Amino acid sequence: MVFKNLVVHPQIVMVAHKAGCAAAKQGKFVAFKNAFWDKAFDPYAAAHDPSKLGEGNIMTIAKDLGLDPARLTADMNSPGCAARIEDDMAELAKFHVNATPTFFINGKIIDGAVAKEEFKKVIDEQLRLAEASGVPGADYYDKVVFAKGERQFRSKKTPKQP
Amino acid sequence: MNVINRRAMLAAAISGLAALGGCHPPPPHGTPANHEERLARLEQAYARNAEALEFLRKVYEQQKAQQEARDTDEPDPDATFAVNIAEDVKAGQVDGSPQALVTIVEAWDFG
Repeated sequence: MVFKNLVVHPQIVMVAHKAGCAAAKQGKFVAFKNAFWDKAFDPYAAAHDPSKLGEGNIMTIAKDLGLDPARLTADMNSPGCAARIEDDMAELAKFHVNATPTFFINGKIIDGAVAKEEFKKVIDEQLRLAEASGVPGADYYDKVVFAKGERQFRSKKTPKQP
Repeated sequence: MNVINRRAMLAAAISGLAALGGCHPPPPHGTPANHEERLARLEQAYARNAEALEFLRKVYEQQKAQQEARDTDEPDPDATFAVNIAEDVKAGQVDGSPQALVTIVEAWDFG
Protein backbone atom coordinates (compact mmCIF):
# COMPACT_ATOMS: atom_id res chain seq x y z
CA MET A 1 0.00 0.00 0.00
CA VAL A 2 1.27 3.43 -0.96
CA PHE A 3 0.14 6.58 0.78
CA LYS A 4 -0.14 9.82 -1.12
CA ASN A 5 -0.64 13.07 0.71
CA LEU A 6 -3.94 14.76 0.01
CA VAL A 7 -4.30 17.62 2.44
CA VAL A 8 -7.99 18.34 2.60
CA HIS A 9 -7.87 20.38 5.82
CA PRO A 10 -4.56 22.24 5.70
CA GLN A 11 -5.47 24.53 8.57
CA ILE A 12 -5.42 21.66 11.04
CA VAL A 13 -3.36 18.83 9.55
CA MET A 14 -0.53 20.33 7.51
CA VAL A 15 1.80 19.87 10.49
CA ALA A 16 0.82 16.19 10.64
CA HIS A 17 1.50 15.71 6.93
CA LYS A 18 4.94 17.28 7.33
CA ALA A 19 5.56 15.09 10.36
CA GLY A 20 4.49 12.03 8.35
CA CYS A 21 7.02 12.94 5.69
CA ALA A 22 9.69 13.47 8.33
CA ALA A 23 8.84 10.19 10.08
CA ALA A 24 9.15 8.39 6.74
CA LYS A 25 12.71 9.67 6.51
CA GLN A 26 13.37 7.77 9.72
CA GLY A 27 11.62 4.67 8.40
CA LYS A 28 8.55 5.07 10.59
CA PHE A 29 5.82 6.47 8.38
CA VAL A 30 3.30 3.71 9.07
CA ALA A 31 4.05 3.63 12.80
CA PHE A 32 3.61 7.39 12.94
CA LYS A 33 0.43 7.32 10.87
CA ASN A 34 -1.15 4.69 13.11
CA ALA A 35 -0.04 6.40 16.32
CA PHE A 36 -1.27 9.76 15.06
CA TRP A 37 -4.64 8.24 14.40
CA ASP A 38 -4.89 6.74 17.88
CA LYS A 39 -3.29 9.47 19.93
CA ALA A 40 -4.07 12.61 17.98
CA PHE A 41 -7.02 12.34 15.63
CA ASP A 42 -9.29 10.20 17.79
CA PRO A 43 -8.85 12.42 20.88
CA TYR A 44 -9.30 15.48 18.67
CA ALA A 45 -12.50 14.09 17.21
CA ALA A 46 -13.79 13.11 20.67
CA ALA A 47 -13.06 16.42 22.37
CA HIS A 48 -13.02 18.77 19.36
CA ASP A 49 -9.66 19.90 20.68
CA PRO A 50 -7.45 21.12 17.80
CA SER A 51 -4.39 21.13 20.07
CA LYS A 52 -4.38 17.32 19.78
CA LEU A 53 -3.37 17.75 16.14
CA GLY A 54 -0.73 20.35 16.98
CA GLU A 55 3.02 20.14 16.98
CA GLY A 56 3.25 19.61 20.76
CA ASN A 57 1.24 16.40 20.70
CA ILE A 58 2.94 15.28 17.50
CA MET A 59 6.34 15.60 19.15
CA THR A 60 5.11 13.54 22.12
CA ILE A 61 3.91 10.83 19.72
CA ALA A 62 7.22 10.96 17.86
CA LYS A 63 9.16 10.59 21.09
CA ASP A 64 7.09 7.55 22.07
CA LEU A 65 7.92 6.01 18.70
CA GLY A 66 11.62 6.56 19.24
CA LEU A 67 11.97 9.13 16.50
CA ASP A 68 14.83 11.61 16.71
CA PRO A 69 12.98 14.83 17.60
CA ALA A 70 15.63 17.24 16.35
CA ARG A 71 15.87 15.50 13.01
CA LEU A 72 12.10 15.24 12.80
CA THR A 73 11.68 18.96 13.37
CA ALA A 74 14.37 19.80 10.82
CA ASP A 75 12.81 17.53 8.21
CA MET A 76 9.30 18.82 8.92
CA ASN A 77 10.46 22.34 8.19
CA SER A 78 12.58 21.40 5.19
CA PRO A 79 11.68 22.33 1.62
CA GLY A 80 11.90 18.63 0.82
CA CYS A 81 8.85 17.67 2.86
CA ALA A 82 6.87 20.65 1.58
CA ALA A 83 7.71 19.59 -1.98
CA ARG A 84 6.84 15.94 -1.21
CA ILE A 85 3.32 16.95 -0.17
CA GLU A 86 2.88 19.33 -3.09
CA ASP A 87 4.10 16.74 -5.58
CA ASP A 88 1.67 14.15 -4.22
CA MET A 89 -1.23 16.54 -4.54
CA ALA A 90 -0.20 17.58 -8.04
CA GLU A 91 -0.05 13.95 -9.12
CA LEU A 92 -3.48 13.23 -7.62
CA ALA A 93 -4.89 16.32 -9.31
CA LYS A 94 -4.05 14.79 -12.69
CA PHE A 95 -6.65 12.16 -11.87
CA HIS A 96 -9.17 14.64 -10.44
CA VAL A 97 -8.72 13.31 -6.93
CA ASN A 98 -9.84 15.95 -4.50
CA ALA A 99 -11.40 14.00 -1.66
CA THR A 100 -10.69 11.16 0.70
CA PRO A 101 -11.07 8.27 0.70
CA THR A 102 -9.88 7.62 -2.84
CA PHE A 103 -7.99 4.49 -3.78
CA PHE A 104 -6.31 3.14 -6.89
CA ILE A 105 -6.10 -0.65 -6.93
CA ASN A 106 -3.53 -1.45 -9.58
CA GLY A 107 -4.78 1.69 -11.27
CA LYS A 108 -8.50 1.05 -10.90
CA ILE A 109 -10.01 4.01 -9.12
CA ILE A 110 -12.37 3.63 -6.20
CA ASP A 111 -13.63 6.90 -4.83
CA GLY A 112 -15.96 7.49 -1.96
CA ALA A 113 -17.08 4.97 0.59
CA VAL A 114 -17.71 1.60 -1.01
CA ALA A 115 -18.75 -1.69 0.50
CA LYS A 116 -16.01 -4.01 1.67
CA GLU A 117 -17.27 -6.64 -0.78
CA GLU A 118 -16.84 -4.27 -3.71
CA PHE A 119 -13.33 -3.47 -2.58
CA LYS A 120 -12.49 -7.17 -2.28
CA LYS A 121 -13.98 -7.85 -5.70
CA VAL A 122 -11.66 -5.33 -7.37
CA ILE A 123 -8.61 -6.61 -5.47
CA ASP A 124 -9.41 -10.22 -6.38
CA GLU A 125 -9.86 -9.32 -10.04
CA GLN A 126 -6.59 -7.40 -10.14
CA LEU A 127 -4.80 -10.23 -8.34
CA ARG A 128 -6.14 -12.69 -10.90
CA LEU A 129 -4.92 -10.52 -13.79
CA ALA A 130 -1.52 -10.01 -12.20
CA GLU A 131 -1.06 -13.71 -11.53
CA ALA A 132 -2.06 -14.53 -15.09
CA SER A 133 0.45 -12.01 -16.48
CA GLY A 134 3.45 -13.91 -15.21
CA VAL A 135 5.13 -10.62 -14.28
CA PRO A 136 6.79 -10.75 -10.85
CA GLY A 137 5.12 -8.75 -8.09
CA ALA A 138 8.10 -6.47 -7.63
CA ASP A 139 7.81 -5.34 -11.25
CA TYR A 140 4.09 -5.53 -11.87
CA TYR A 141 3.12 -1.97 -10.96
CA ASP A 142 5.95 -0.37 -12.92
CA LYS A 143 5.85 -2.63 -15.97
CA VAL A 144 2.13 -3.12 -16.34
CA VAL A 145 0.07 -0.58 -14.39
CA PHE A 146 2.30 2.46 -14.75
CA ALA A 147 3.79 1.63 -18.15
CA LYS A 148 0.46 0.84 -19.82
CA GLY A 149 -1.98 2.91 -17.80
CA GLU A 150 -3.46 6.29 -18.58
CA ARG A 151 -1.49 9.29 -17.34
CA GLN A 152 -4.44 11.52 -16.63
CA PHE A 153 -8.09 11.48 -15.71
CA ARG A 154 -10.57 10.19 -18.25
CA SER A 155 -14.29 10.25 -17.70
CA LYS A 156 -16.66 7.51 -18.72
CA LYS A 157 -17.90 9.83 -21.50
CA THR A 158 -14.46 10.32 -23.00
CA PRO A 159 -13.28 7.60 -25.34
CA LYS A 160 -9.91 6.06 -24.62
CA GLN A 161 -7.13 7.38 -26.82
CA PRO A 162 -5.55 4.67 -28.99
CA MET B 1 -94.30 -3.67 -54.16
CA ASN B 2 -97.19 -2.23 -52.27
CA VAL B 3 -97.67 1.37 -51.15
CA ILE B 4 -96.72 0.75 -47.51
CA ASN B 5 -93.41 -0.76 -48.46
CA ARG B 6 -92.63 2.10 -50.81
CA ARG B 7 -93.29 4.65 -48.02
CA ALA B 8 -91.10 2.73 -45.59
CA MET B 9 -88.26 2.59 -48.11
CA LEU B 10 -88.59 6.29 -48.83
CA ALA B 11 -88.48 7.13 -45.13
CA ALA B 12 -85.36 5.01 -44.66
CA ALA B 13 -83.66 6.67 -47.65
CA ILE B 14 -84.42 10.17 -46.36
CA SER B 15 -83.15 9.24 -42.95
CA GLY B 16 -79.91 7.90 -44.45
CA LEU B 17 -79.39 11.01 -46.57
CA ALA B 18 -80.02 13.17 -43.57
CA ALA B 19 -77.35 11.28 -41.62
CA LEU B 20 -74.85 11.63 -44.46
CA GLY B 21 -75.62 15.29 -44.76
CA GLY B 22 -74.88 15.95 -41.09
CA CYS B 23 -78.38 16.65 -40.06
CA HIS B 24 -77.93 15.10 -36.63
CA PRO B 25 -80.45 15.59 -33.99
CA PRO B 26 -79.36 18.25 -31.52
CA PRO B 27 -77.07 16.95 -28.69
CA PRO B 28 -78.37 16.88 -25.15
CA HIS B 29 -76.36 19.99 -24.20
CA GLY B 30 -76.23 21.40 -27.61
CA THR B 31 -77.07 24.99 -26.98
CA PRO B 32 -74.46 27.56 -28.00
CA ALA B 33 -74.10 28.69 -24.38
CA ASN B 34 -73.22 25.15 -23.27
CA HIS B 35 -70.68 24.86 -26.04
CA GLU B 36 -68.97 28.03 -24.83
CA GLU B 37 -68.82 26.72 -21.27
CA ARG B 38 -67.45 23.36 -22.34
CA LEU B 39 -64.89 25.02 -24.56
CA ALA B 40 -63.79 27.29 -21.74
CA ARG B 41 -63.44 24.31 -19.38
CA LEU B 42 -61.43 22.38 -21.97
CA GLU B 43 -59.19 25.36 -22.56
CA GLN B 44 -58.60 25.72 -18.84
CA ALA B 45 -57.79 22.01 -18.54
CA TYR B 46 -55.45 22.24 -21.51
CA ALA B 47 -53.68 25.22 -19.98
CA ARG B 48 -53.23 23.37 -16.69
CA ASN B 49 -51.86 20.29 -18.47
CA ALA B 50 -49.59 22.40 -20.64
CA GLU B 51 -48.20 24.10 -17.53
CA ALA B 52 -47.58 20.72 -15.85
CA LEU B 53 -45.93 19.34 -18.97
CA GLU B 54 -43.70 22.39 -19.23
CA PHE B 55 -42.68 21.95 -15.59
CA LEU B 56 -41.92 18.26 -16.17
CA ARG B 57 -39.94 19.15 -19.27
CA LYS B 58 -37.82 21.59 -17.26
CA VAL B 59 -37.23 19.01 -14.52
CA TYR B 60 -36.25 16.44 -17.13
CA GLU B 61 -33.82 18.87 -18.79
CA GLN B 62 -32.27 19.74 -15.42
CA GLN B 63 -31.86 16.09 -14.44
CA LYS B 64 -30.44 15.26 -17.84
CA ALA B 65 -27.89 18.07 -17.53
CA GLN B 66 -26.96 16.94 -14.00
CA GLN B 67 -26.50 13.35 -15.16
CA GLU B 68 -24.33 14.52 -18.05
CA ALA B 69 -22.22 16.57 -15.66
CA ARG B 70 -21.86 13.55 -13.36
CA ASP B 71 -20.88 11.34 -16.28
CA THR B 72 -18.35 13.91 -17.44
CA ASP B 73 -16.80 14.04 -13.99
CA GLU B 74 -17.07 10.35 -13.23
CA PRO B 75 -13.99 8.31 -14.02
CA ASP B 76 -14.26 5.54 -16.53
CA PRO B 77 -14.48 2.37 -14.43
CA ASP B 78 -12.64 0.51 -17.17
CA ALA B 79 -9.67 2.87 -17.12
CA THR B 80 -6.38 1.92 -15.54
CA PHE B 81 -4.79 5.06 -14.17
CA ALA B 82 -1.03 5.24 -14.02
CA VAL B 83 -0.40 7.09 -10.77
CA ASN B 84 3.25 7.83 -10.28
CA ILE B 85 4.29 6.36 -6.92
CA ALA B 86 8.05 6.23 -7.39
CA GLU B 87 8.82 9.10 -5.02
CA ASP B 88 6.38 7.86 -2.38
CA VAL B 89 8.01 4.45 -2.40
CA LYS B 90 11.44 6.00 -2.23
CA ALA B 91 10.31 8.23 0.64
CA GLY B 92 8.99 5.25 2.59
CA GLN B 93 5.29 6.17 2.51
CA VAL B 94 4.46 2.51 2.07
CA ASP B 95 3.16 -0.45 3.97
CA GLY B 96 3.31 -4.11 2.94
CA SER B 97 5.52 -6.29 0.81
CA PRO B 98 7.36 -4.84 -2.19
CA GLN B 99 6.69 -8.18 -3.88
CA ALA B 100 2.92 -7.72 -3.78
CA LEU B 101 1.08 -8.25 -7.06
CA VAL B 102 -1.55 -5.70 -6.10
CA THR B 103 -0.60 -2.14 -5.24
CA ILE B 104 -3.17 0.02 -3.53
CA VAL B 105 -2.58 3.75 -3.65
CA GLU B 106 -4.49 5.72 -1.07
CA ALA B 107 -5.05 9.44 -1.24
CA TRP B 108 -4.32 10.08 2.39
CA ASP B 109 -5.35 12.87 4.71
CA PHE B 110 -4.38 13.09 8.36
CA GLY B 111 -7.62 14.82 9.20
